Amino acid sequence: MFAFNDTSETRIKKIMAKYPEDRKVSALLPLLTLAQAQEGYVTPEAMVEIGQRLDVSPAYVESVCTFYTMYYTKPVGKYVVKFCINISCHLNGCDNLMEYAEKKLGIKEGETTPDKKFTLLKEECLAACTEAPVMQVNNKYHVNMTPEKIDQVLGSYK
Amino acid sequence: MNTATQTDTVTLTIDGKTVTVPKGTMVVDAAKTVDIEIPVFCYHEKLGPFGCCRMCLIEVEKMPKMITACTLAAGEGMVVKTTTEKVEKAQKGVLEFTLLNHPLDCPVCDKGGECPLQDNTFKFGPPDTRMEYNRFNREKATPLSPVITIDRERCIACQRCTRYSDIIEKDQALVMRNRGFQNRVSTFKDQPYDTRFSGNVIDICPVGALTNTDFRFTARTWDLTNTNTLCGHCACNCNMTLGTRLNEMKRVTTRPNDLVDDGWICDKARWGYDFTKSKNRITQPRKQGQSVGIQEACTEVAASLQKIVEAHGPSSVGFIGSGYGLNEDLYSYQKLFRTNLGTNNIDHKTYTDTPGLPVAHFDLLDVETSDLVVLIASDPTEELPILDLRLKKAMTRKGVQMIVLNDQQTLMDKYASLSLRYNVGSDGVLLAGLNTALQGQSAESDLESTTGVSSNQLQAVAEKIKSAGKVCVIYNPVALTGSSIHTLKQCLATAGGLAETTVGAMPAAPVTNSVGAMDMGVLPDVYPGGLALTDGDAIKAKWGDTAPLEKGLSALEMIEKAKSGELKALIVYRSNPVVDFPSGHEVGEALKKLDLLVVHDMMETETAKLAQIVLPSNGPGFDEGTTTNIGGRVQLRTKGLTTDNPADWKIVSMIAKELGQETAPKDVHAVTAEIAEKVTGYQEIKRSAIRKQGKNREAVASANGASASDGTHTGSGLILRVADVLFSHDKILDAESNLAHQFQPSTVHLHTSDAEQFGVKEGDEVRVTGNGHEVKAEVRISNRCNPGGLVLPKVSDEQGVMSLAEAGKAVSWVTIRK
Amino acid sequence: MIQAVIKGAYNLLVGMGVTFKNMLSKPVTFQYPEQKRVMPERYRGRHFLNRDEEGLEKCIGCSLCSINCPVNCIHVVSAENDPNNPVSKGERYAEVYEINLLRCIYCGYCEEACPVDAVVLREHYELADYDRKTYIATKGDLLVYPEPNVFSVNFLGNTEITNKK
Repeated sequence: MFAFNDTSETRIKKIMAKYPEDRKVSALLPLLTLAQAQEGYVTPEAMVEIGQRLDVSPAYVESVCTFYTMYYTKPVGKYVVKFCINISCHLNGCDNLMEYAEKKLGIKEGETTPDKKFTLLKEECLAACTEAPVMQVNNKYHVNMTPEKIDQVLGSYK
Repeated sequence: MNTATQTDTVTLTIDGKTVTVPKGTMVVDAAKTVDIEIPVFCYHEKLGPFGCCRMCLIEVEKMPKMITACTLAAGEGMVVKTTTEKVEKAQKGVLEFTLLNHPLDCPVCDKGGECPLQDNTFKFGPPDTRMEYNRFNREKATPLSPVITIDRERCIACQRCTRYSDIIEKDQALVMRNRGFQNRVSTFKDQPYDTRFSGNVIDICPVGALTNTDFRFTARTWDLTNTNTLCGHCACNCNMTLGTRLNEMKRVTTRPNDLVDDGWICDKARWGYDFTKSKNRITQPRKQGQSVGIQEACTEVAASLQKIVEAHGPSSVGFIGSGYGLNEDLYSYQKLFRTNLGTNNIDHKTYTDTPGLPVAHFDLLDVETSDLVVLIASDPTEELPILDLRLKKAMTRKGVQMIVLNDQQTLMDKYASLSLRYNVGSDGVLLAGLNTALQGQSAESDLESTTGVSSNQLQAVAEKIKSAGKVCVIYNPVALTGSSIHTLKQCLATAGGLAETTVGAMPAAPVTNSVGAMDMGVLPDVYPGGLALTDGDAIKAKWGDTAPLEKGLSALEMIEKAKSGELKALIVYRSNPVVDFPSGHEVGEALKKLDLLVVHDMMETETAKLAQIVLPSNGPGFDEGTTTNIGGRVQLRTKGLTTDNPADWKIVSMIAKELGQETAPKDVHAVTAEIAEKVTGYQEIKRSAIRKQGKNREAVASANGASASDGTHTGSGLILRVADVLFSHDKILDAESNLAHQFQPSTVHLHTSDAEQFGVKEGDEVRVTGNGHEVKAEVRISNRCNPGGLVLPKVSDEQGVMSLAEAGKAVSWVTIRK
Repeated sequence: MIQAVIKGAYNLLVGMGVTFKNMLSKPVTFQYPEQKRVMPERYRGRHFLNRDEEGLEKCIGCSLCSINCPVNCIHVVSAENDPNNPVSKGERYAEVYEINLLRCIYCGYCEEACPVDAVVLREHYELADYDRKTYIATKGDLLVYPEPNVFSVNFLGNTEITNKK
C-alpha cells in the first residue's frame, strides 16, 4: 500500500494550493516527483493514489508518467546512467559507448546491476548536442564521453 | 439546427462552392455538406477537434501555411482549397509517413474493405514508399479485453479510442502509454478494458488495430448481409446494423442515429446476440413435451381456450405479456383477449404504472437541450446505458444541470449538481413532499425522519425546477414502490403548471418496449392509446359492442386467482413469472393448478417447463415490427435472420382465426397500419415515416390513477431494493455468451450502521432471507443506500432475488443471517 | 486446246500437291482420349490451391477471389489459425473453400486477385462427368498438385490418382 509521508503531505498542500480546484490535474507532475522521491520509482499504488487525489484515472496518471523518462516505473539502482542516443550523440558514436558501458556493468539497456547500484538507460535527447556524446548519471551531465572517461566516471560513483 | 438565425451562420467557399453552416462548424464538416471529402483519421464528429494525424491539411487563402481542416472552425468569407498541388503533396506525405510501419496485411486484416486508411491511401496516397528499412514489428493480436483484440502493429496512434474513453465514456480507462515512438494503447497495468461501452472503439478505429474478437476472421466485411435494425435489449432501442452471413449472426455495428443513440451502442447490444444461436431457444411448438406442428398447436390453444370460456366465463382466462414483445405482437394479443375472448385479464408488469403523461413526453434529444434534468429512482448506467452516455454528454459538454433523487448510489451521482438519497421505500412520501414544495407550501414535519431527505433539501429541488427554463424528468416506474407513480405524476402535473418552466418527462423503465406495451393497452384497466374503461362509448366505437368494460385482473392478481383455482387458463408471452415475479418461488405452484398454461417465448424458461403448450417466439434478429423507446420514438425493427416459424403476431392471428375471427392481417405492415388506425397517438406511424430515424408518437391519453398514500412502512429487518444489472446472467446472456466475463457474483450492499447491527463484515458470505426464501450473497459495506435498506443487484436468474419480494406489497422486509 | 489441257494438268498437280504434301505431313488431329493434348502453360483450366515450401496452405482465406468472381462461384469461410498448429502462414485460413466448376467461366480473375498466389488455373481441361454434385470442388479436391499435363478420365478423381503417384 502506498501513502505519502508527512513531509510529502505538507509539500502537496502547498502544491495543490497553486492550482484552482477545476484545474487540479496540473499538480500531476509535482506529485509524481514526490512519489518517486519517496519510493525510488513511481509504484502502481502511487499512481492510483495520485489519480484519486487529482480526480483522474490511474491509467491517465500512468500515461503521463510513462511519457517522461525521468519517471521510473520500475525499481532503479542508486545511480541511473543515461546515454543520449539522438542524432548528435549518435553521429559521435554513442552506440559504441553504450555497448562499452553494457559490457563494463554486465547488464543490458534497461536493466539494473545485481548490487542495485547502476541502472543503464537510453535517453532520446539530453539537450547538450554541442558536447556530444553525453552521458547523464542521476542529475549530473558528463560530456564528450570516451570509453576511458566512462571508466573514470563510473569508477567515481561508489 | 432549425432555430439558427442569420447571425448564427457563416458562409465560406470551399473549392469554389459556397457553403453556409452554423457558427463553430469545423471546415471538415462544412465540406461534407457539399460532398467535398477532406480525408481524416483522428477527427470524429462526436469527439471534436484534435488534429494529431495531419491528414486533413488544406490551404486557406490569406493563411501563410497549410492548416488542419478538423481544427479550423469555419469563418465568414474563408476561401478554402482542398485540391491544390500543395495539398495533394501534403496528403501523400502524411500517408507515406502513416504507412511507414503499418503492416500491409490487408488481405488478412478484418478491417479490410471498410478501412479508412485503405480508402484514403487509394484515393490520396502515394503509389509507393521510399522506406528502405524493415518495418518496426510489434505485438500482433493481443486481447485488450475478452471481446476486443488489439493489434498494436496496425495502430496509427490517432487516439480516437483513448479520446472516446475520456470524452464519451468519461472514465479514461484507455490511454496512450509510453507516448512517443513506442506508444501503445492500453489500460492501467494492462487490466482488461471491459467497460459497458468498450465495443465502440472497434467502430471508430480507422485501422484494423482494435478488432472484435468474436467476429475475428469469421467473414470478410463485404460478404456480410447488413440489415439496419434496432437493439432488442434495453428501452433505448439503439439503432444498429446486423451483419449476417448464411443466416448466422456475425457481428453488430453501430448505425448512428443522433435522435436515439448519438452514434454509440453498449456492449450488451454489440455482443449480447448469442441468444440467436443458443441451444436454449424454443425452436418448435410443443404439446405436453411432444413436438407438434404450429397449426395443430394453435388449433389446440384456441379449442382449449374456447372450452374454458364456455364453461367458466371469459374471466377465467388471462394473458401475461411483457415489454419484450413488439407493438404488433402485443397489440394482436390484447385484441385477441378483448374482442375474441371478451376479457380484460391482460397485463405485462408487476409494478404500478399508467400510460401517458400529464406533461409532454420528452425525447432523448431533449435531455441535451434542457436546463435541468431530474433523475428519479433511475440508474441509467445499468438499466439504460445509452441514456447514461447521453446524460454524461449533457452534463459535461452541454452545461445541463442534474438533480438525482434515488434510494441507491449510482454512477450518475458524480455528474449531478444535487444528489439526494432517500430511504428505500419512502419514495411516495418524498414525491408527495416534492409536490407540496412545488406548490409553494411547506412540507410535512416528519418528512426527514421518513425519507432521510430534509424539507430544505426538497425545497431546494423545487426552487431549481422553478428557476429552470426547461426541465426533463426521467423516472424509472419499476423502481418506484407501491402506487407512488401516481404521486409522481401529480408532481409532474404541478410542475407542468408552472408558468416559467417547460416540463417534460421520460418514463425510463428498462424493458425494450415497455412504453409500447403501455401504449398498446396490455393492461387490465386501459385500452390501447390510454383509453380508460370509463370511456365506454369510445371503446365500443373502436372495439365493437362486445368489448369488455369491467376492470380485468393484473398480472399478480392472475397468479393469485390461479392459486385459488378461479383462473383456469393463462397465456404467458415472453415473460418468466417463476423467476421475475415477486414471490416467484410460489408462482410455479399456482401455475401448476391451471387447466391450460400456454407459454409463448423465445428461450426455454422455468415457466415454459410447466406449460402444456409451448409456442416459439422469434425474437430480435428474426422478428419485424415496431417498438417505442423511452422517448416515445417509434422505430422499425427489421429482421436479419430468417426462420421457418411464423412471426409472433401471425401465431396470434392463427389462434384468433380458430376462435372465429374472420379477417386476418396479411402481413406485419397490415398490423402496423391497424395500430395507426386504432391506437391514439400512433396515427402518423407509417412504415415509410419511421424507416430511417423513427418518429415520435403523439401523446397517448393520460390515465392517471388516484394517489393512494402508502404511508409509512412497518416491519422488521431491512427494506429490500433490487437493483438491475446490465450484464445479468439470465436467459438472454447465458453461460456461453460472449459477455460471460462481465457476470458479477451475488452481492448484498449494506450501510455501515446496518452491517454493525447484523454483525457482518465486508466479504462475508451471508444469506438474505425474507418471504420464506433465501438468497446467498457476499457482503459489501458500500453505503449504497441509507440505513434501514439493503441493495441486492439482480445478477442472475439462478439467484432468485425476486422471490424475496412479497407480491402485492409496496416494500419487502428482509433479514441477514450468516 | 493442248494448252488448255497442260494448264489443267498443271493446276491439278498444284492442287494435288497440297494434298500430297499434307498426306506426308504429321496430322493435327490425334487419338483422343488415348492421346492428350499438351496445353500451353497459361491455359486456364481447372483450379488448384497451392501449398508453400513448408507444406502449409498458401490460401489465407481473404475472400478476394470470391468477391472478384464475376459469377459468384467461389465460397470461402475463413477461420483463425491455431498458432501452434497453423494451417496457413497468416493469422487466418480458409476453413471452407469451394468452387462451383459448372458455374465458373474460367476467366482467371480469382488467380489475378489472389494476393498470395494460392489459387491457380492450370492446364487441366477434362471437366466432363455424369453427376452435377461432383462439380463442387472442395478444399480436398483443390489442394493437390498434379504434374503438368497429366490427366485421367474422372476429372475430380484424376487428381487423387496423380497424387498417389
